[in-house]
Amino acid sequence: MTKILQKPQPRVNSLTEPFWEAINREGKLLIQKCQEGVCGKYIFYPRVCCPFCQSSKLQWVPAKGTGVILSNTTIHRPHHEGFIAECPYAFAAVELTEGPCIYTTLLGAPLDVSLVGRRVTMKPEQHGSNQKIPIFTLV
Amino acid sequence: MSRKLKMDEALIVGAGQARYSKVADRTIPQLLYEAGNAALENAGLEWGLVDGLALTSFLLPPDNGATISEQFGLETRFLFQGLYGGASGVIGLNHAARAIADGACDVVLVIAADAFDVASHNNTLDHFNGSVRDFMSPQGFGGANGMFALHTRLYMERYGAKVEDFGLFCMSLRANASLNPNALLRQEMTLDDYLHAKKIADPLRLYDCVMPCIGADAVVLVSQRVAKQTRGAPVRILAAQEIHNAHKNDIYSNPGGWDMFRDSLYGRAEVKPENLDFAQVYDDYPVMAFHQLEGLGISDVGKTADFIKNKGITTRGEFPVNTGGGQLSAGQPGASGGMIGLFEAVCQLRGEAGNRQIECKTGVVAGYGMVAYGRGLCSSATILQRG
Repeated sequence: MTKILQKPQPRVNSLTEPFWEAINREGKLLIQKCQEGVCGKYIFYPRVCCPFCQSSKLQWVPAKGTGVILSNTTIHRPHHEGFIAECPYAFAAVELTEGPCIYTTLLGAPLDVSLVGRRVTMKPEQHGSNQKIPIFTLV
Repeated sequence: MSRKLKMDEALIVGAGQARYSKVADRTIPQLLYEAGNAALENAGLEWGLVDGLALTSFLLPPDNGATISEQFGLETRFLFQGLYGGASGVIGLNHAARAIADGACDVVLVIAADAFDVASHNNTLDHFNGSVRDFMSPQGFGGANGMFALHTRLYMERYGAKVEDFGLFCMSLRANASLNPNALLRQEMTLDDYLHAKKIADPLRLYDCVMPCIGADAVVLVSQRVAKQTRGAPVRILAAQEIHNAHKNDIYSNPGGWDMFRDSLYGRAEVKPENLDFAQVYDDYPVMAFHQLEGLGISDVGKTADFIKNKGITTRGEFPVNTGGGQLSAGQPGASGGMIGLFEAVCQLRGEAGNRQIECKTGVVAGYGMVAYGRGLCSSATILQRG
């Protein structure tokens, strides 16, 4: 029998729980928004305070789930055995429409070419038995 | 200026390396001892004089500076433990110099050691910090290779650099490594070899990526008083600086912070980039070496490829870079990758670099480390001069 290799799983903690709950239950991508009037920046990855103004007044808000590729690569040698079966695959840094950067495997994207500036959209993907993660595809 | 005078209180009087190896044949304390011993022998000093340790090693825990003091039988009055990856060597040197200037201690061994292969390196990186573990690793980021492939792609898009430009950098370092008996990759590399190596994370190929290995590097730093008892030319620390989370909240404009302290670094050292005889930069990937040369004002932004072509960066070139072959050809012993440049600079400035010796009086060493959400967070650099 072939051994099913588990991909690395995120650890859910009190700070990141709303993010994982939203993607797992509703398929929604939540990011944080600073509630300080003069700041109001959107934030990702999850923080305890706003990295722009250090305010602790952060609120989870739904992101549009759209963005633009900042840079991309094609992974030929994965960092973890759980990704071996999918190699080679596209991976990208995406600038969300709201501003923050999020990292994603790019499903169905062409390999070994620059995709900088291409628009992408999010859909939740199963990542292990009890976990979903946000994954982006080219528009 | 008082800060500069204080830095002059401490002198580097020796450098040493443990034997680099592809197999994990020694423990971290063994590696620390081997490199420290070589540095002390080089300086002509005894272990009994050592009263400070600046140690960097990902794999040292659960041991630490205090338990290593106990293992080696040292009473230490200054301990530093570098948690800043490849930036830690220079940072440890900087902090140790200040401790000596303050009179806290007289003889500090600055040592880094690690024992990695590809699998254990990936495993460490996978859990490097919370943001990588939860928001990069499950998404399949490809480890440091994937992370720096993104920076390489962007550099190429912005400045029109070609893979051949990174190839020339790697080939030049390989030529330097051919003269370094402790480098693990010494055979000549042609552009064809470079371009036809297996793809790792497009646009990175095999020879763009450092090879994790086993090894350790050390320098010994002493007070003016102790320096009189040592042999060989002492090396002065003209200035040293660090910055963490430079260009905050901006991952992709500039993945390092050398540009943010460059003016004060050169100002305090009272030298200009054109006065430098060499650079030892943190070459985990060619693109990061390009960013360091640019951040330190040695080459113009986006023009490092031309600089390499026009000047030549081998030991026979007009401006040698990574004269021992760098990590790309010597190997990357984990966090000790950040000490290779320091070891090499001290050897060169003391005139003890053997076949790869260049004519030099002043050089710069840069460090970079602690990869987190999309980039390394820690940048360091020091300007050293033969005393």
